[in-house]
Amino acid sequence: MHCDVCKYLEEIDSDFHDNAAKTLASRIEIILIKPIEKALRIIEEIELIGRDNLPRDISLRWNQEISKALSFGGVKIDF
Amino acid sequence: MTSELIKRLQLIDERLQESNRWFRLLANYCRCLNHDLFMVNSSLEDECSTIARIQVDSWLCEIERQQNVNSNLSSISSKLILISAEDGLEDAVNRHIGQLGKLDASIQDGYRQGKSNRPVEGLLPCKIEDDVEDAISQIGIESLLIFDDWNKWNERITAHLNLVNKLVTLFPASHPFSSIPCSISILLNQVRNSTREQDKLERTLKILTESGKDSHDAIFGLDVLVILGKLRPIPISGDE
Repeated sequence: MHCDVCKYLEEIDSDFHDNAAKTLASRIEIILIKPIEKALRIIEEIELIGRDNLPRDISLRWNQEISKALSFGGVKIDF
Repeated sequence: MTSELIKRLQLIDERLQESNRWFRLLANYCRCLNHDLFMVNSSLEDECSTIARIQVDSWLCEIERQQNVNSNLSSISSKLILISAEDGLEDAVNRHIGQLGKLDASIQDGYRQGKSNRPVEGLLPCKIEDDVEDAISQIGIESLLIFDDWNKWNERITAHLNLVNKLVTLFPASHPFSSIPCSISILLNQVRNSTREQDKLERTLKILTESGKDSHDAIFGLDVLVILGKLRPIPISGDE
């Protein structure tokens, strides 16, 4: 969904809105899409390693990453 | 009367010899455990394995003290058996028999079967099952193997912990050994947590740095650095 929004914003062909649309697309990419991509990769790795086999420090870091992706996306979950 | 006395003395002698065999087994096991803890401690450099080593040393000292008492009592009992067989040496028998009184009372009370809770120096407080002996032998044999990853060390410490937990239940609170195996068990549990964590770090690092995966360096580069910072070298055999 966010990718579609970005695509739409990047395709806006208006001298007046061009800069604002590209900035917004870039912000959506950095703030929303990248963290979600990283969170998805982390979840893949957790599935591969096994939830019980995660080292404590890595588990904390990855929990924060997933939590960050969710909260930027408007979802709040307490781990 | 004399034949009854000789019979009792022979029973005491048997129990003492059996106890001596077990003290020797326990002493060998303590040396094996101490060596493993030394290797893990050299690698982890943590407080738990250091204190665990001190506790194992204390246990070994206590076992050696019990062995000394056992040896003295054994010598007295075997000499008394010889003296009792001869007539006219009642004074000598009376002089030394007192030293075996507690031992005899404990054996007669069925202390070994868990019916009495009176620990006697030099005598093993209970009958130790064969599976404990098998576990000690197994750990001794496996000490010849080379453990080349943290998973094997984790399994090794778990085997020690299971065995020490069995030994904890064998010694009553009033026995001189009692608190030592308990504290070793608690400390081994902590050491196992550390080796388990190292095993997890090792596994995760292996998966994150596996070849054939794209862009892992970019996404998990920092995680790999965190793991490398926490991962300790695998303990290798060495002399203390």
